[in-house]
Amino acid sequence: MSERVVCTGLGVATSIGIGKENFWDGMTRTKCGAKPLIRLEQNRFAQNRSYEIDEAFPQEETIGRTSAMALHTIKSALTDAFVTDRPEMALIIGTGLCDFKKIEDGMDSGRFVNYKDICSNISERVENVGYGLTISTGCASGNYAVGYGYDLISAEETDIAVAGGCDCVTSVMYGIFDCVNREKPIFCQPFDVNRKGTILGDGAAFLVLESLTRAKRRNAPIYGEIIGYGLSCDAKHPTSPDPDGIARAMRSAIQRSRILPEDIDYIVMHGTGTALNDVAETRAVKEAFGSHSRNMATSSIKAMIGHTGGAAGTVSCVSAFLSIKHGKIPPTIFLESPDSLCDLDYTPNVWRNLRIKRAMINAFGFGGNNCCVVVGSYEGDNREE
Amino acid sequence: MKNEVAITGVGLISPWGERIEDIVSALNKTEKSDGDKPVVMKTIGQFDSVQKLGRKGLRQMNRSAMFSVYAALQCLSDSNLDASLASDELGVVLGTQFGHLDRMEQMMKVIRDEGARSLNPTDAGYGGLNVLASIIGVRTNAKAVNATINNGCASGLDAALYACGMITGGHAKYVLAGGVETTSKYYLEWLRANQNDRAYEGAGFIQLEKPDTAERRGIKPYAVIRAFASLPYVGADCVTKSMNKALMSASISAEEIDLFIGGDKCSYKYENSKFQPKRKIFIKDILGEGMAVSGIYQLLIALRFLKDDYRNALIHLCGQGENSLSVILTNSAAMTR
Repeated sequence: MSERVVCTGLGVATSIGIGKENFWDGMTRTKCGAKPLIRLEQNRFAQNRSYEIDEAFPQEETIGRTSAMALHTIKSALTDAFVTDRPEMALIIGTGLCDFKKIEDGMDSGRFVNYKDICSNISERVENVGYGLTISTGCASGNYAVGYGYDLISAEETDIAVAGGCDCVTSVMYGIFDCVNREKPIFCQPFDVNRKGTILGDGAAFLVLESLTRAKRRNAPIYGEIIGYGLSCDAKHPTSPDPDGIARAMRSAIQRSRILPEDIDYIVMHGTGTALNDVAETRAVKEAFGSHSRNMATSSIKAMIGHTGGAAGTVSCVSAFLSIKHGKIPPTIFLESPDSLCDLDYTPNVWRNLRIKRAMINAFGFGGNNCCVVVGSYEGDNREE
Repeated sequence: MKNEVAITGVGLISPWGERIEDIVSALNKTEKSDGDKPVVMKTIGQFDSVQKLGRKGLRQMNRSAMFSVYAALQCLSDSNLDASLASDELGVVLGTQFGHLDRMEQMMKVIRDEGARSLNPTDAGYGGLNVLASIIGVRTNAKAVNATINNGCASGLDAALYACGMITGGHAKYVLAGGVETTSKYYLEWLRANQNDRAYEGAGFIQLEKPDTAERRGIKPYAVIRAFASLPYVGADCVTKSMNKALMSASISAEEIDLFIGGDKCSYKYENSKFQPKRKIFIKDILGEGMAVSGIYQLLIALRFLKDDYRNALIHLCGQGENSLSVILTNSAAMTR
């Protein structure tokens, strides 16, 4: 029997709030973090909006903004979990863009930057990291990291892991979307017929994951449980999503969680607001969930926080755990006229009360990487299976 | 790691050739070549990309992509796995530290000099680190896990460790795990900053699957990975800890190890009088730094020696600020091809 894995700490930083309280407060007020570009040279791009975080983070100049965001968020997740016994823990970091912003800034200033991976930066500054890994699967990175943290604990390789994702807006990735977005979006508008493409944002989110045994032993606060996850790769196109590949990841997540599609109450959609993603994801949900896709609530939080790249999946995990705690789900804001091919219940514009037993978190990345995590409310020792 | 994983295929490209034997003879030659001037960067010479990879998709590939795709395809072919029948169960995990930075830098130059609208959308993948693994995934039709590991010098070996986890955890039946590093400004600057005067480029892959999967396919593995241990490298004591952890996890004693393949001698310290392998090789001291590919070459070299009369190999690799990784490989007569 493998160890059950629970989430005991949340750390998050987005354009609408840093820290779980501010993040939740920002979402509760359906705040939109889109604003004119802060840290990129405006004259290089046709569009000019991003979901960057205003604040600078400690040590940003030394280790790079992404590492600094990750460091801050990891520390706040550990504080949130009241981890005081200095355990040896695994550190799994998901990132799509690493500290490339630091390299880009170096190119601009003609100063060479000695590139270092994020995990090394964090391991040198957080005590008792036992095993560290930086994993990159594009915008699915955060979910991949959470999944691997779950694997390590359930296989009893460790009993505590900090896992999550981080990315900040880089010129190259922003430039790619600038190049492909034919019109200039003002904000992300997932599933709307008038959506104009996605807008990048800064983000970092980390979860403290523990074996249920350890969490109970130290009487830790439990946000909920990681039930399982599934992954797949389209192996088709570098940037265009494939509904079959996405559906495969969802089916795998359900199967590996040993539940039925009907057991999922809510999906935090990847919902990027691009023409291709929103239709492909909708089709995949229908394929994987069949008739239950009509009865199930979904929403995308990207209209509020933008597309946070490698952090996207874990920010959505944080949102899901807070939804479980508060018994309500955030809406997809700016959804005025749904695309005719996007015909699920996306919880348009208004918060909804919902008791969640099981939720799925979707994250898909360039390269056709798909990863879906299933989380659940903590129901004590006798989990139904 | 509680379950063993078999190595059933190998593929590589290096400055010395495309066979494990070529790297082993480079080790021997370099060992004997006293007085030779150190090579700053040993590069791969002639690489006929059209002949080796075909024209399709070549424009989207930088040097790292070409080498890693080539090594991965060689590995797949060596394992006798028909990827068209197993694509949903085949994954790719690649370790690299600087693999795509050259192309990303070119894109940044375009943005700076001409504006983002002048970017070529077909280069979009190079905006993120995972582009190389994605390209390999497309070329091998691998539809299970697809991930890139970015962990400094240990990236290649960390990729193999992660891949083992994907197999034992049931996320993939077969995984192509490897490492790639090619000459770039970032690699050279890193070498200078870390006072390395010799280095090389290359790519290497191993195919991993469960031993019983290999048996059902009628494939005899090269060797079996018995255990992995990884700890943060914060000084020489970590080497002892990581090696002991791997030995314990593999349930074998230090005296049963008859082959040791290490990185460099100066970061190595193992205090155990029972540890007396018949052969010890420190590849970084001989070949130079190989970043993400060095750990995979260590594995490949171990496979070559396990073909002879060695039974258990311990491979160790570490880097400052990174992981101290130990791997136990076991061979038996029945497993030798």
